[in-house]
Amino acid sequence: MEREPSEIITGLLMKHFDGLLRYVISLVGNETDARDIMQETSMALVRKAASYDETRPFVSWACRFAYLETLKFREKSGKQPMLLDDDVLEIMASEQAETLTPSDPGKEALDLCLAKLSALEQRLLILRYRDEVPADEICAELGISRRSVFRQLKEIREKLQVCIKREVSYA
Amino acid sequence: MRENRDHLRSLVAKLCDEELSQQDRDDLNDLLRESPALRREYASLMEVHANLITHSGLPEPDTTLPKSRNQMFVPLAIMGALSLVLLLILPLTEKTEPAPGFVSVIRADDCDWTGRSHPVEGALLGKSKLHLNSGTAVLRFPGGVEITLAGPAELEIKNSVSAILHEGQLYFTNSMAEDETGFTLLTPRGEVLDIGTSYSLKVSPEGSEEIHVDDGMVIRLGDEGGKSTVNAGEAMRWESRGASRSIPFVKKSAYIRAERRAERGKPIAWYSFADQEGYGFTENWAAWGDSEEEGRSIRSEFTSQGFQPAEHAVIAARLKVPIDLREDGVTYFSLQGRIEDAPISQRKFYFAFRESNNPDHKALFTMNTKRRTMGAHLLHSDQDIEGRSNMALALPANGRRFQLAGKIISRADEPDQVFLRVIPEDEPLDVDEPFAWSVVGKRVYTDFRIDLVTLHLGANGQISISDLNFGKTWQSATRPLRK
Repeated sequence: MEREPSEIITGLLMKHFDGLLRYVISLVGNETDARDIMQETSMALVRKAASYDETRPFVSWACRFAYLETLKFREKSGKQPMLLDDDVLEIMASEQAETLTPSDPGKEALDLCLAKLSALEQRLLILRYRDEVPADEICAELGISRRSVFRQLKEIREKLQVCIKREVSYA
Repeated sequence: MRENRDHLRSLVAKLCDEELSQQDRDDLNDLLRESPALRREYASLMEVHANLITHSGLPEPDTTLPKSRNQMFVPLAIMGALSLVLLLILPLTEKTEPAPGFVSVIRADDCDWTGRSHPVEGALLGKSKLHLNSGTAVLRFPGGVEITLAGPAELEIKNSVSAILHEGQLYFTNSMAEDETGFTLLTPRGEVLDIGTSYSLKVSPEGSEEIHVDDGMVIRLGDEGGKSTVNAGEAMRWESRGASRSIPFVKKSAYIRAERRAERGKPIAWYSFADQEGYGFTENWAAWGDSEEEGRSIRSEFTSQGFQPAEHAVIAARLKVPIDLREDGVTYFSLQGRIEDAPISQRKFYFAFRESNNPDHKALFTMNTKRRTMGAHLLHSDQDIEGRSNMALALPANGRRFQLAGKIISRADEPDQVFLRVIPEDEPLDVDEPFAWSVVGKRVYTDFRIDLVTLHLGANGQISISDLNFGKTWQSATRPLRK
């Protein structure tokens, strides 16, 4: 059964959507803008589906689109301050695209590492990332200062970073 | 160098927590410009942050139980923007609105869920990850695809045309399409395409995959590039290392135990106006609304057909168990009646489920025989037009019996929604909720606690209401029409 190019791209896009979103988040620094950019990227990818060469890695091809859509988004945003300067963005985009892999080993490693956190650390992540509770409310719920919330989140992310690196290298 | 790395880490932490100043931005750019090592460090930390945002599960704190991966992770509430496919298929919503659900849970028999999502029968699911420990759940996707998930299994709903079976077994069927359905089932190592097909799919914890095809044909595209075709009556197995082979075919019945139960529970409230008996209501039905009329007995309005007032009348009764829209849940209901033959240019007939303390807070269902429209609404007041929706449709025919069946989906943190369906006399009552609803109400944030039912009839004896049921499942809330 021959599949239409747009079907192939749609399937690949669904599979790699989260990875591409993470790539864009690292370029723009926030989830809201990244999701807007991914929306445009998705449409551009399907529009250009016919030009996709199936023998080439999809993720690298899609990253290029995501980068171009990031540039367009910055243009449209006018004078709003952007996270990264143009030259830094270009370097980051190209270096990051090279490191993205189709298999996404970091995701499984994250599962393992999250399970190793203490109950309090897990609670903090749930409030911050899953429930998207504002920092002030987290302070009130956990009975700790705002500064302490940010310090602990920083420590948890760094702990996860080390753990994920270790798990990926064992895999 | 160490100092720069620490500074970078502080800046990334501020960025992640939305505390970055303009000076911090400048510093961050300077550091990233300066060193490839710092860029790698930035990328690595941002990867963790972004992974936490996009990850489909975060652990629930649990210090007492042994940690098992399947039990420890729960689907993440962060849905955000949807993939393109979803955008094309579903209507766009406001950015701040949670995405509407698109997969109906049409059965949830003995389901023991773990994780964040514990759907009951009737629930509408969006992008989510389901961890079913035991029991059987049937999920209906738009387009007619039904997936029977048998626990233990882990299924991730990606959008309205694709899902991932991470582990466990399911039965896939499409009653609507005779050809390709366009639905894609992904597995950890492949992609399964069906062509007018019914098949079983199994993903073992060790990573092997099996497909048994009952009808049609299935094509599996492996991540490694292999393409396999499995025809009806055939089965194949793919080992975790990539080798594949034919295996003996096993029919669905031996693979997924999803037989429908004969008994699906009794209604939580029921009243027969024809027989004047029932349960689940705190008091008898009485007149409602007008201070002079309120509480007046309406027994004289009851006939062998049910409640059939000669003049405009409103009656009410209170539910013993309120329907709490502040909590996640689904309540089905049905109302049976009959419309007489006489051509009437305008009949008034509607019913509402209200808060007794604040009757303007209501789920309102209307039928306008003149305009041939129906409505299903969640309203904060009569003036409040938000949440109103009307759709033209074929109403119950004159001289015929009908059943109006509906459901109320309540959600703790998301908008609530009501649905209504006309089931005419000649339409058989299905064992599962209907594929399509006659009217779908708008999604509205409410925190109603519904405990009052009001029936409004102004049809000069031309409409009679015979039965009213409430239940937690479709089957318990609906029943074949009275003869």
